[in-house]
Amino acid sequence: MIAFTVVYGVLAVVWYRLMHRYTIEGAPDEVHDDSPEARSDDDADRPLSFAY
Amino acid sequence: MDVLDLARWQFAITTVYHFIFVPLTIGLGPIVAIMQTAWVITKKDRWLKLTKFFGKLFLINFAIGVVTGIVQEFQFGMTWSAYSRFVGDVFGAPLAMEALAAFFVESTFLGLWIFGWDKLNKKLHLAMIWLVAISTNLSAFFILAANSWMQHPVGTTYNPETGRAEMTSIGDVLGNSTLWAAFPHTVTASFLTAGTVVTAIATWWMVRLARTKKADDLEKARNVYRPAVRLGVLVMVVAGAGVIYSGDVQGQLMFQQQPMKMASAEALCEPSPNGAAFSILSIGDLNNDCEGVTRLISIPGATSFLADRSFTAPIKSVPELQAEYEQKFGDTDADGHPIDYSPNLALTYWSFRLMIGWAAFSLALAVFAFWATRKGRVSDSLWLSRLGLVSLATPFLACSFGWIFTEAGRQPWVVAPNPTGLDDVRLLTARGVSDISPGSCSPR
Amino acid sequence: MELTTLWFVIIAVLWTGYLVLEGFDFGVGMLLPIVGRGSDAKERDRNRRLVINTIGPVWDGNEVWLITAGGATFAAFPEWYASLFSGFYLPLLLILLALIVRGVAFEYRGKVSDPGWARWWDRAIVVGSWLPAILWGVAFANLVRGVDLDAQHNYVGGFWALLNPFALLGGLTTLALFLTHGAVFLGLKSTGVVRERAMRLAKPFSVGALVVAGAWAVWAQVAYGTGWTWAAVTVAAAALLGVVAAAWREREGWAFTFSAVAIVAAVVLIFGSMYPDVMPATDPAHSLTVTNASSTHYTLVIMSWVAVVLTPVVLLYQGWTYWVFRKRLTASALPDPIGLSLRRSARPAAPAAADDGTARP
Repeated sequence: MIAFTVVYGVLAVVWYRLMHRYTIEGAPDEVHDDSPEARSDDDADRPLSFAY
Repeated sequence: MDVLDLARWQFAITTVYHFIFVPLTIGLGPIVAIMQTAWVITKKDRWLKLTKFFGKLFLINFAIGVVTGIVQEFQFGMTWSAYSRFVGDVFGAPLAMEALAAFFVESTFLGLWIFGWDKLNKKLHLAMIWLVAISTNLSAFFILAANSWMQHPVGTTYNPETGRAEMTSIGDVLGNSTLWAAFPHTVTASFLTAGTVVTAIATWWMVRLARTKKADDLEKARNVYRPAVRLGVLVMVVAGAGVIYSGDVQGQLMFQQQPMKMASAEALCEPSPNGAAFSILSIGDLNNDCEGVTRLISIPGATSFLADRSFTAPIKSVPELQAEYEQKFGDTDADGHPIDYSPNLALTYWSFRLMIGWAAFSLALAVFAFWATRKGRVSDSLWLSRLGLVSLATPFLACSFGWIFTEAGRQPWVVAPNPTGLDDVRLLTARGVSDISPGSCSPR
Repeated sequence: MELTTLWFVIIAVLWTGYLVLEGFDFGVGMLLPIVGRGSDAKERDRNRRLVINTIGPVWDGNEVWLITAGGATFAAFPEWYASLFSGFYLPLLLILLALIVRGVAFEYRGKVSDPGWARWWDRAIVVGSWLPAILWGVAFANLVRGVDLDAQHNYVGGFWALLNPFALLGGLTTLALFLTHGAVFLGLKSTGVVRERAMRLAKPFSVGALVVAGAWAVWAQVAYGTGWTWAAVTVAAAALLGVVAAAWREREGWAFTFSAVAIVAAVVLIFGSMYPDVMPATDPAHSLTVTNASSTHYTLVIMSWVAVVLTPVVLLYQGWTYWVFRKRLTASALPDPIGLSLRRSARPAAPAAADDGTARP
C-alpha cells in the first residue's frame, strides 16, 4: 500500500506539472494538415507526423 | 491496522486516485472528437489547433487513467478474494465484457489516432477518435453495471450449496434500475467536468490574450479560444442539466433501495412522521453517532420532497433502520460483536453536501462565461479568468465526493441487501477481505 | 466440449495473446539502453526514440490482453481469480507497479525535451520491462508446479516458497524468450544501426533461449506434463532452433515468427500440463480444477457468446493496426522532438506577464 501511494503521489505531481505546462503553452500557432489526401508528394523519407 | 483496514485504505486510495483521471477522459474524448469533426467539416485551422491542444491534455490524462485502471481490475482478487469468490459469478461478467468490448477498442484505436495522422485519410482518422470516445463511455457502462449490482443486487440468487451469489439473468443485471440512473449521472458528471476544464482553460487564454491589446493576440482570442469557450459552455449546460436530473432520479431510487445511505446522508436521527428537513449545516460531536448531531440551518420538508415528491412523507431515521436491520440480519456477527448497520455519519453527510456544493462552481462558470461571450464578444474580465481557475479543480472534487458518498454510504455492506426481494444476496465488507491466515473463510 | 474446458482454452488464448504481444514490448524495453546507444547525447536520444517508437502505436493495445485475461478469469473461474491473485499478492504487486511506471513512461518521455527527464523515464521503462519479464515466468512456473493451498483454496505457502528453483528457471525462461523476441522484433521494425545491434544481440540471445527454455520445458514436461504436451515441448524446441537459424542468417521475419511460435508452445505446455487443474495444490485434494473453480453454466453460456463474437473482431482490428504501421522505422524519419522545455520558453506572441497561473494586468 505504501508503494502504491508513493508511486501515485509521484505520478500526480508529474501529471500536474505536465498539464500545467501544456496548458500555459496553449494551442499551436501553426498547424499542418498531415492527412494523406492533403499531400501531393509520396516521399518515402517524409518524417512521421508523430513519434514519442 | 489490521488486514481489513489496510485493504480498505488501499482500495479507497487506488479508486479515488483512478477516478481523478476517469471523468476527464470520459468527457474530454468526445469533446476532442467534436473539435476534430468541426475541423474535417469546416476545414478551419482553429478547430485543428484546438484538437491538437486539448488532444495533448487528453493524452497526458489518459496515460495515468489506463495504468491505474489495471490495478483496479486486479485488486478485487488481490485484497478482496472472499468477496471475489462470493460475487464472481455475477460481478466478473461485466468486467470481462468491459475488457473485451471497450478496453481493446479504446487502447487500439487511441494508438491509431496518436500515430495515424499521416497514415489514415481524414475521415478514417476522425473515426478513430470517435471510437475511443464511444468506447470510454461504454466502459463506464460496464463498470457501473458491476458497481450498481453491489448497491442493488438483481438477477441473482444465493446458492447455499456453493455459498455464493449466482447470476440468473444478465438482462436484469444490465437492466438494473440503479445502473440506468448511475450511468447517466456519472457520464453527465464527466461531461460537466470536461466541459468545465475546456471552458476554464479557454477562458483563461481568451482573457489573457485579450488583455495584451495586440492585434494578433486579440485575433487569436477571438478566432481560437472564444469558440472553445462557447463549445465548453454548451457542453456544461447540457451536462449540468443532465447531472441534476439524473442525480434527482438516482436519489429517489436510493431512498427505496438503500434507505440507510440516504438517512445517513441527511444524518436523520429522529423519526419524522410529518416529513424530514434538509439541513444545510449540521455539526456532530467526535463520537460521530446520532446523539451528537445538532442541526443549525435546515429547510423543512425538503428531504421528504427529494425522496418522494411530498413535503410531508415520513422518512425512516438511522435508529429505526438499525432496528429493522437487526431484526432481519441479526444483531451480532459470527464472533458475537454487535453489528452497526449505519455508515460513518459525518463522512456520508459531508460527502453528499460537498458533491453538490463543489459542482455549483461549474454552474457559476457556465453562466458567467456564456454572458461574457454573448454576441461575438471577447471578454477580458479578470474575474472570469479567476473563476475559471478556481473551477478547474471543483468538478474533480465533486466527482470524488460523489463516489466517496456512494461507496462509504453503502457500508457496512460491500453488497447491500436489496430490500425489494433479494436480500439473501448480501455481504458485509468485513467478510469480503482476503484471508491471509488459514482457515475460517466462509464467504458470509 | 464442456464449457468449462472451452473457458480454460479461451483464457489460455488470452494469455498467449498477451505474452506473444507484450513479450516483444518487454524485450524492446529491456534492450532500450543496450541498443539505444550513440556517440553523443543527440544520437543516443534519437536511437532510443527509434527503439521506443517501434512499439509506440501498439503497446497499449497489447497490454489489454492482460486485462482481458484477468477479467475473463474473474468471470469464468472466480475461485481461480481469487486464489491466484491473493496468493501471488507480492509478485503481482511488483508487476503492477512496473506496468504503471512503464506505461506512463512511454507516454510522458517525449512530452518534455530535457535529458534528465528522459533519463528518468528510460529507467522506468527498463525496470518496468525487466521485472515483469522475469516475474511472469516465476508465476506461471509455480502454477505448473503446484502451490500450497488449504481446503478453502487459500494460498498458504508464503512469498519465499514461490522462489523455488523450478520457478526461478521459469523466470529465466520468460526473460530469455522475451529478450530474443524483442531483439528480433527490433530487427524487423527498424533500420540502420539499431537494426544491426538488435540482430547482433539476437544471435546469442536465441542460443541462450534455446538452452534455458529447452531445459525448463523438459523439466516441466518430465515432472508435471502429460503425454500430449510432449508435442508442445517439441514444437517449442523446433521453433527455438528456427529462431537460432533465422537469427544467424539475419532473416528477421522468420526469426520473429519462430520466436512467437515458441512462446505459443510454451503457453500450451503450461496450460496443457495444468489441465484439468487450474491451480494445482501440493495436496491434490485441495486443487482448484476447471470444475470446482468455475462459474455457473448460465454465466459461462453468456460469456461464451460475448467471447466468441468479440475476440475475432479484436484480432481483426489489432491485425489492421499492425498493417497500418507495417513500415520499418528509420532514425531520419523521426520528427524532431516535440516536447516542451521544462520552463516556459519566451514565445514571441505571448505576453510576458502571467506565466504562473494567474493573469495580471
